[in-house]
Order: sequence, then C-alpha cells, then structure tokens
Amino acid sequence: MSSRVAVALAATLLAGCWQEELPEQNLSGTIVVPADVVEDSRDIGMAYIGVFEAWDPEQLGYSYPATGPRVGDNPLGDTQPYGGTTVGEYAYPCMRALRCSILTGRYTTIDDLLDANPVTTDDGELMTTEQFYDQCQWYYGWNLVEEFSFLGEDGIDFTKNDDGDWEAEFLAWHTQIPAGSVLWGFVDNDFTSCSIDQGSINRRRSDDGQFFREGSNFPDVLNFPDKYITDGDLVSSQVTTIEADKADGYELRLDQMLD
Amino acid sequence: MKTTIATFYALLACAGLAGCDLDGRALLQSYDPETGETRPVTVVDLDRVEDAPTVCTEDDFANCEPYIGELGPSDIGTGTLSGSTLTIQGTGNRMCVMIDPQSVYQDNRMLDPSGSQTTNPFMDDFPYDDGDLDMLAGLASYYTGTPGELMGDFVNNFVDENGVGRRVDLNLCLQEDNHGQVGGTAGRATPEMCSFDTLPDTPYRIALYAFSVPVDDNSLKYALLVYEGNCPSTIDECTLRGDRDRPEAGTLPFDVDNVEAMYCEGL
Repeated sequence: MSSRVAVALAATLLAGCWQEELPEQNLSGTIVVPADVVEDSRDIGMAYIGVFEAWDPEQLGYSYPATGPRVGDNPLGDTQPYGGTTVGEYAYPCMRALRCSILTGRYTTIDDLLDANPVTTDDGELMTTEQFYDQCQWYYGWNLVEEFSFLGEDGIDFTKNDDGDWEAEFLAWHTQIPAGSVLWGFVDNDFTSCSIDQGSINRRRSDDGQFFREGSNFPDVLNFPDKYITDGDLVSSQVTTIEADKADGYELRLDQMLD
Repeated sequence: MKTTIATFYALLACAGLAGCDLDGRALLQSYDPETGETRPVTVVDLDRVEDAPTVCTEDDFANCEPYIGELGPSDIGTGTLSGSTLTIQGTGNRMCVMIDPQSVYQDNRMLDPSGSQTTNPFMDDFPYDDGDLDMLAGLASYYTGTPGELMGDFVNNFVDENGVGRRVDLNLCLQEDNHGQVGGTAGRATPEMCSFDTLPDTPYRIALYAFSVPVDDNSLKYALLVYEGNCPSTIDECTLRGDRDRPEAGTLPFDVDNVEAMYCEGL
C-alpha cells in the first residue's frame, strides 16, 4: 500500500517538472538613457519596451516598428507586438492635481516628489510635505512614509551605470521572442499615454461623493505608439535584435529625443 | 441511531440524484422546450431578400426608411450565430451603418417634449422583449463566413517573417466604449453605429450578429440603415424606428400602439 502511495507521490511531483514548450518566455535586460539627453532621472517618463516583428525607420521618419495594414480610421497600422513591458507605472499620488503625472520608481521622498512636481493649494501656497502626507493618509489610509507605494530609495528604477548614463532593468513577462524579432522602445515624457478615464475609481468616493478614475495607461500604447509619441519623447534610435535561445541580457538604448 | 444514519445517506443520495436531473440546455436561448431540441440558427443574406436594404445618402437619411429584419437565437456557446449580411459597393466616400435591436432599453422611461428622458409613471420596465445585435464591417474579400449559410468575421491569419502565426482583425466598424477605447459594443436594445472609409467600386460586407434574442418570443427584430456619409455624433432609440413587436390592443396604457412609440412620442 505504502509503495503505491510513494509511486503516486513521485508521479505528482514529476508532473510539476513537465516542460510545456510554451512559446512565451520572460524576456529581461536593461534600458539605457544617456545622461546627456536626460540629466535628472526624475524627468524620465514612462518607458515602454516591446518586442516587434521588424523595424521600419523610414515610415515615420524616425525609428519605429514595422506595422501591419492600416485598418479603419487608425492613422497607421498596428505594430502587432509579440509582447512588452514598462519601466515604472502610473501611480495616483493622492490628489487629482498630480493624476497621470507621477510614476513609480522615480522619487525617493515626498520632498523629492514635490520638488519636481510643485502643487499649489487652494490658498495659493505651495503644498508642504506635511500637507501631502496628510492627503495620502486620508486617501489611502497610509500611516508611514514607507507605505507610500510610489516613493522609496529601494524602488528607484534608474541608476547611473559605469558610463554615467541612466540604466534600468526591465522584465517582460510571457513574451514571444522569435529569433530575428526586434526590441524597440520609447519614453513618454509628457504622459500622453495616460488616460484619466482609466484606472481605479476614486477610492474615497463614498466620502467625497465624487466619481473619477485615478488614471492609467491606454491599453493600445504598444500597438499604436505613434498616437502617444510627441515632441520631447525619447525613442530607441536603433533596435536590438532578439537571438535564438536567449531570453536575458539584452540592452536597449533610448537615446533619440524627438523635436 | 442506525436509522438516522441511513436516513442521512438516503437524503444525500436523493440530493445527488436530483443534480442529475438538471438539463442545462434550458438555459440556452436556442433551446426549444416544446420539442426538446436546439433551434437552428438563422443566417440571412440580405442581398437576396425582397426589399433588400439600400444605401441612402447623407442628405436624405432622415427620410430614408430603415430596413426591418428579424433573426432567431444564436448558439453562443458553440459560436454558431444567427445573423445577417449585407454587401454594399464602396464609393470612395465614407459609409455610415446604424442598427437598432428590439426594442426599448427601459420601458419605464420616455422622452418629454423637450427631448429629455423622463420617467413614464404608467409603465414598468419589461426587458423580456429586448435583444442585442452587434455588427462588424469590412472588405467583403476578408469576410470569413458564407452569406446565407454561416456567419463569419474579419479575423484573418498569416505567418509573419519570423515564422510566427498571427491573427489580424480587419473589421472596419470600430466603436468606442465608455472610456473612448476602440472595441466597444452597445448592449441590450441599444442602437449602434459606425462609419468607415471605402474604396470606389469595391464591395464591403456588413455582418450583424444576434447576441441575444427576446425571451418572450425568441425572435429579434432590428432596424438597419446604411447611408453614404458620416454618422451623426449620437443616436438614440428614436433614430431608427420599427424594431419592436406590436402588442395586443389594450396591453399598453392609453392604447399606445407599441413601446417604441410610447418612449419616443410620450403619452
């Protein structure tokens, strides 16, 4: 009897080791923003990285993925990405005045955030650290600065590398990475990729009676990047080609500022 | 004690057997309780019907009579859908397509003389005469169905230059949802519209899908209007008329003819 149990147990454990041969893999690497293009890492907007079928630097006059046919009223075809990710995500910083303009991984402290994003109160005065803290305590119920999900030394995305440029790691979950496909990305510095009509509903709605959403990125940013790329944004002037049987260690430079 | 245990197990067995008596098909919109069979889907080729829909012009679309069609239930679970298709010729201009499925989303509402929606104190909402119709449109050559026989869509497959199988949706009838994102469809008894550019002398196909049919008779009436030009910014229940049943006399208050007239023209 006990031997049957042992066999069944072994079979169960082995089942967990089954290689499913899924085409999707986790792709990782780093993105680099030259320091002579962006001096302050707090000024680096939302970075989007995608894996695309091919590269087409001609169609728009700047580096851009190859697109499918133009369908309907879309000004350009769908880039049909295999997958992708972002570095940073839109955070709701406790007040609508800063909605769609604050990213995770950019600020260490409240002072750091308010220094880069000054807020004027109803009194015409600049918001103080205490006022910001109180607002977040009321909105989220946080009682420690360590609870502020969009602040903290440990969560900072971009750090200086040996060349003095800004470097951040990325991880694109469950992405198809066929050999020959390309890694391309852009940085949305003015947050046009954030929609105030998306994201969580005001979590204090029952208290203040207001309906609004906290803001989040549009769902088609990687499909139609051109809709969101504007002057002052960064694109990768060159692409990185995906190699066979390699899912990590890639580097992509986001080095061309559009004007 | 033994009797109690035996009774407990007997009840447990009865409960288990009762579960075997459930027939989930009764929950399907295509199930016919009288025959115990699943009704076949209705696929209509509007190019071959009498009084087929015509394409109006933007200038006279207000005077253009919508086509009134009727569809049976779909078998959503298997993807076998009832629906109808219409082929139109592109002109090089924009085409607008409007549909309005039966009948009125809220029967207990109506429009007042100023056009604002207000409460109808003489009616309860009656959702059982409502259905949902959705639409797609695109180049006829991309349509994957067979008009009059099998509904299809505009999703096509190809292998890209990296050897990866891909799917591309070439539907041109793009509607926005409440967040302004493409891909939305209207719900029960609510009209839909879309417009798209066309190439001259090129056939386009409009495909209408019965997503749900009225519970009271399993038959979905709908109004369809196609015209050359841009769609208006908004449409409502009263833009297209005729997507309703005519109830027996005296059913509605003040002898109003039908729920759509009651909603649009008041009492």
